[in-house]
Amino acid sequence: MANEKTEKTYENFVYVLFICVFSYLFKVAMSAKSLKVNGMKSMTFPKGIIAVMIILCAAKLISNIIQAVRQHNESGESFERLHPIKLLTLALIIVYAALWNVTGFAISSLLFITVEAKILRWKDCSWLKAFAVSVGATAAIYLIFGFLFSVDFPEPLLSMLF
Amino acid sequence: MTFETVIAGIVNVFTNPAGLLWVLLGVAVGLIFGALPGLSATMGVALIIPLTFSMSEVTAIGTLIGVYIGGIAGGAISAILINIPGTPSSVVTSLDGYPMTKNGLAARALGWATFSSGWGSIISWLLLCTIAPLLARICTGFGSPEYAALAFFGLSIIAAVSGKSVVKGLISGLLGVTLSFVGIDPIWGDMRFTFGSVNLMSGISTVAALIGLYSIPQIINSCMDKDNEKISGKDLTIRNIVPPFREQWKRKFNIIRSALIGTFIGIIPAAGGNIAAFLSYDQAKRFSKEPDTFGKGNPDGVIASEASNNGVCGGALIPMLTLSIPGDSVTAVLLGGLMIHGITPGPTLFSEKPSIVSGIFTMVFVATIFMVLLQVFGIKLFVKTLNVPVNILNSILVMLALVGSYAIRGSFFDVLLTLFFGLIGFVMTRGGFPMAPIVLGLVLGSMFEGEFRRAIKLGNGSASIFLHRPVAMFFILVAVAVIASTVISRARKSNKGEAKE
Repeated sequence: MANEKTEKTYENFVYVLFICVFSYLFKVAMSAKSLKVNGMKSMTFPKGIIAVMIILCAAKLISNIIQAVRQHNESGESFERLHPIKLLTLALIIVYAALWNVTGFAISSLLFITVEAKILRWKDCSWLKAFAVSVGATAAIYLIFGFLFSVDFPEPLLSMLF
Repeated sequence: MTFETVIAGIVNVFTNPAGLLWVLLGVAVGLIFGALPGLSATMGVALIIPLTFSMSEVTAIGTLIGVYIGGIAGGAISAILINIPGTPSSVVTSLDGYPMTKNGLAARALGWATFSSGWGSIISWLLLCTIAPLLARICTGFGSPEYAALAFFGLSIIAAVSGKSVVKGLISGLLGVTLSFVGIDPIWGDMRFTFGSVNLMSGISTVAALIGLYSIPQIINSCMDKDNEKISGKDLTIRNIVPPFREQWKRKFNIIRSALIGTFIGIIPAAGGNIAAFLSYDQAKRFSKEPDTFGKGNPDGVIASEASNNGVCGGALIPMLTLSIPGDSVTAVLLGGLMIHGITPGPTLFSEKPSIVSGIFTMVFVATIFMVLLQVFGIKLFVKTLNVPVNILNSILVMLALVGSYAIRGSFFDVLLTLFFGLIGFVMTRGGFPMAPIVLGLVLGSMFEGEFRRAIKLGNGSASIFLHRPVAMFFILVAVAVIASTVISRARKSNKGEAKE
C-alpha cells in the first residue's frame, strides 16, 4: 500500500484530471443540439451530474492543498515512485493490445506472455520456460475461444500466410 | 399444473442420465467462466447456446441454467483468491473474501461462498416453485417511479461500499453514472458524448469496464508480489472447506435475509442482480454486532454477497418464465435460448407445457446441488491457482482479460475500452478511490436516469408523482435512511478519533 503522501499525490492528480475532463464534457453538453421537446432535454441530467462532479473535485482539491500547506509535510513521508517493472508491465500491456491488429492475436500473445513472464521473474524464469508457458496458454485460449466458441480473432499476418 | 404433471417432469429429469451429465458440464463451464477474470456468466450462456441445438428442450435449458448458476457462483472464486471479481455480482465478495485469503483462510472463505451460494439458490428455488405466478403479478405493477426509486436505492449503497472516504466513493459513483450517459439518450434518442464514434453509440460496455477497472490495476499492483506460499494439502480437507453446520445455523438469518433480498431483486424485471449483493452486504453490516470487521475478513460479508447473488438466479427466472421478461442480463440470453428451442415463456407456458416447467424447476435444483459438489470437491484445484507463480498467472490473466472483453462483441474497441478503464482504475486505486461505486454507477446510472425522466413525464413535469406511489416512496425513504446513517456513523467515528488524539 502506498504511503499517505503518495496517495494524496495521486488523489490530487485524479481531481485535476477530472476537473479538466468534466469541464470539457460540460462544454460539450452545453453546446449539444437537442430536439425541442416537452420535458427534460437529453443533456439536462448529464449537466447536473457533471456540475456536481466538478464542484466536488474542486472542493476536495482545494481542501487538500490547504491541508498540505498547513501541515508542511510534517510526516516526513516522500512520494513513492512507481517501480520500473510495474511501469514496464503497463507499457507492455498497451503494446500487446496495439499489436493485435498488426501481428495478430496469436503472435502478439506469444510475444507478450514470453516477455512479461521473463521480466517479472528475471532470475527465476528462463526464456524457454516462459516461451513454453506462452505456447501452451495461447494454444489453449485459441482452442477454447477460436474453435469451440467461434470467436474470430484478428490475424492479419497468419491469414496472409495460410 | 397438476401434481401428476409435476411429478412427470421431475421423473423425466432424473431418468435421463445424459441430461444430468450435460447439466453437470454446464455447471462446470459456468464455474470456470465465472471464476476466470475477463469472462462472465452472460458470455458463458451465450457461447454455450449453439452447443445445445441438438439437445432436448429440458436438457438444453438445464445446461444453460447450469452455466448460469455456476457462472454466478464462480465469480466468488477469483474474487476471494486473487481479489479480481469474476462477475459484477461478486465485486462485494472480494471486500471480505480476499482479506480472508490474506489471513490464511482461503479454503474456509471459498467454503462459505459455496454453501451460501447453495443456500441462496435453494431458497430462491423454493420461492420459484411455490409463489412464482403470484410474485410475477405483483411486479407487473412496477412502473417508472418504482424503477427510478429502486435504482436510487441501489445508488445509495455507494455510501456503504465507499471504504474510508464517502466523498471518494461518491466521486467514483458519479464517474460511473457519467459513463452511463454515453450513447443514445433513452428518451429522445439523441447521441450523447459519442464524439462521432459508432462504437460508442451503444454505450460503454459494462464487462469491458469491469475487466479494466478490476483486472488491470490488480495485475499491475501484484506483479512485484512474491509467489504465494504453497498451500499444503492438509489444509484442504473437507473439514477446513465446509463450514460446520452449527456455524451455518448461527448465521441463518444472514443467509435467509440475503437470499430473500436476492430473490426479490431478481424478480424485478430488468433490475439486474448487481444491486442484490450490495444491498445484502449493507444489511449484513447493519445487523452485525461487529460492523467494523466488515472489509477485513468477516465471513458474513462473503455470505451476504454470495447468498444474495445466487438468490437472484431463481428470482430472475420467475419473470422470465411467467412473463417472458428477463430478470437480468443472463436471463435475457437464457430467454433467447428458450425461444430457440421452441419454448415461448409466458403465462400460458404453465398451463400448456407444465411438465417442461416442472422439468426446468427440477434442473435449477439439480444444477445447485452440482454447483455445491463441484466446488467442494474441486476447491483443491481452484485453490492451487494460488500456487501458480505470479509471473505466469499475471501474464495469462492479462491475455484472458483482453480476450474476455473482445469475445463479447468481437470488437477491438472493447479491448481499447478495457485498457482505458485499466489506466483510470490504476491511477484511482493509487489515490485511494474505491472501484465498486464506479460499477454501481455505470450499471444503475442509465436505469435511474431513464426511469426518473419517464416518471417526471408521467407526473406532468412534477416529482410529486413519487409521493403517490407507496412502493417508490418506501425505496426512497430507505435510501435516504441508508445515506444518513452512513454519514452520521462516519462522522461519529471521526469525532471519536479526534477526541482520542
